[in-house]
Amino acid sequence: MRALIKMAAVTGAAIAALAVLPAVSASADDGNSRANCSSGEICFWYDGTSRFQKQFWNTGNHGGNNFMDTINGGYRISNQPVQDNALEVTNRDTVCDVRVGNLQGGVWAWVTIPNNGERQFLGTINNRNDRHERIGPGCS
Amino acid sequence: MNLYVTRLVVAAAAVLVAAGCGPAERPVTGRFQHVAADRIAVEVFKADKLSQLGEQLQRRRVECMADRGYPQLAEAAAGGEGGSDLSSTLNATAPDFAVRSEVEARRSGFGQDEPRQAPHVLSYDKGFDETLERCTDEAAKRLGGDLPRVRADAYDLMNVVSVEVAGRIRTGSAASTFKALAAPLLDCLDRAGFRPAKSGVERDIDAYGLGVATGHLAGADPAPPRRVRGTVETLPAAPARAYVPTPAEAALAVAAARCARETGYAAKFVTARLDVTRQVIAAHEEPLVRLGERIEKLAARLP
Repeated sequence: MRALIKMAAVTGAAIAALAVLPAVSASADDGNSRANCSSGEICFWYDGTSRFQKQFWNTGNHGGNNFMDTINGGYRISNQPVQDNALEVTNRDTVCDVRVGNLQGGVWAWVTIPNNGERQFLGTINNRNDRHERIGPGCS
Repeated sequence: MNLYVTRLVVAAAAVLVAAGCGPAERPVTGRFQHVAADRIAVEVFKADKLSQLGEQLQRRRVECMADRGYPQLAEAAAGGEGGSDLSSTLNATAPDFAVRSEVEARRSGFGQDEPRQAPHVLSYDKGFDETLERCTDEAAKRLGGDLPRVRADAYDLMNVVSVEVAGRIRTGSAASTFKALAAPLLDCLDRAGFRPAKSGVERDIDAYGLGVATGHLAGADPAPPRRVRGTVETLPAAPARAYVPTPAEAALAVAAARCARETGYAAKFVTARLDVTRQVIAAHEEPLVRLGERIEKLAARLP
């Protein structure tokens, strides 16, 4: 339910609530630090639009990372955390598949995403994402 | 609904139809009902053949890219080490914290060292991106034109099963079983002086923080990409890095490993998780069998 509400309600007051504020990203991994999902990147999306996005080029935990806000052609860090807050993912890694995980009860639940560049719904771990990993031979 | 939710709904509908909620299909045979805990990835999901197909796809498109003047993927393919694979996602295993030795737990808490990583290719060059798409299509045609679709469908089905199993364990039909088998473990932690991190929450594995890595990786982060527009950049291989737990995390991890061993938690967990996994697999038997046939057909064409 939370996913559908997020898709429908990024308007007006909701946008104001997502205003850009100074924020700190604990991770140095920002992909290529440009908007949109480039070849080689692993990209997470806050909702069904492309406004709030976060790119990685490596395996990583989602805690301490915030979405970037691309409103008006910009690319600035927002106050929206990535952890437990992503709806969709795109895997454009040039070598590896990616799995996205939720840790609960000591057990990781993973969804695995092939590197086909398609934007995909995170399924029932949407808004429960804690980490992603590059997987396969030579990938970690 | 956007395209992506539509795609999920369509996939879910296909699973329902295959499960018997539509035109008559072959009967459920229970063929996977005795699958062993460590054989689920290979026997049910054909993960080994899927990996071979994925590797061949990658190899052919890398060769294609090199032939077309983009050698970066070939040069980077010296390979890293290890890495997780589909087995660790699909097989019925115990939580990692429950199978570590106390020595491992003291050294690594709930985290893991990061192995050496292969060079990584990032593109800011439209020519590279367009050629990669064409090379991927050509590689797929040579291996079997529907390989990308088979891979995507395979991963969709793996994800449906994986998440359904986790859901049943967490809040669904098996939740009370898992809660009961965790109780002696939590009692043991209490006797060792550990308490839930927050008060007023339900007493469970998460409340105690089991399995949560709160430390850091030693060594420097890899240098960031140079990000020059119009170029293809190969990030150098990153050296292996040790994971360093916080002292509190290490202490809890050691106690968790000891308590898990004393209460037999890991074996009980695997038995219960295997039971749930077999039930979920049985509920999706038809699409799993058909998917397996499609994978076998493509794998049979491999040299």
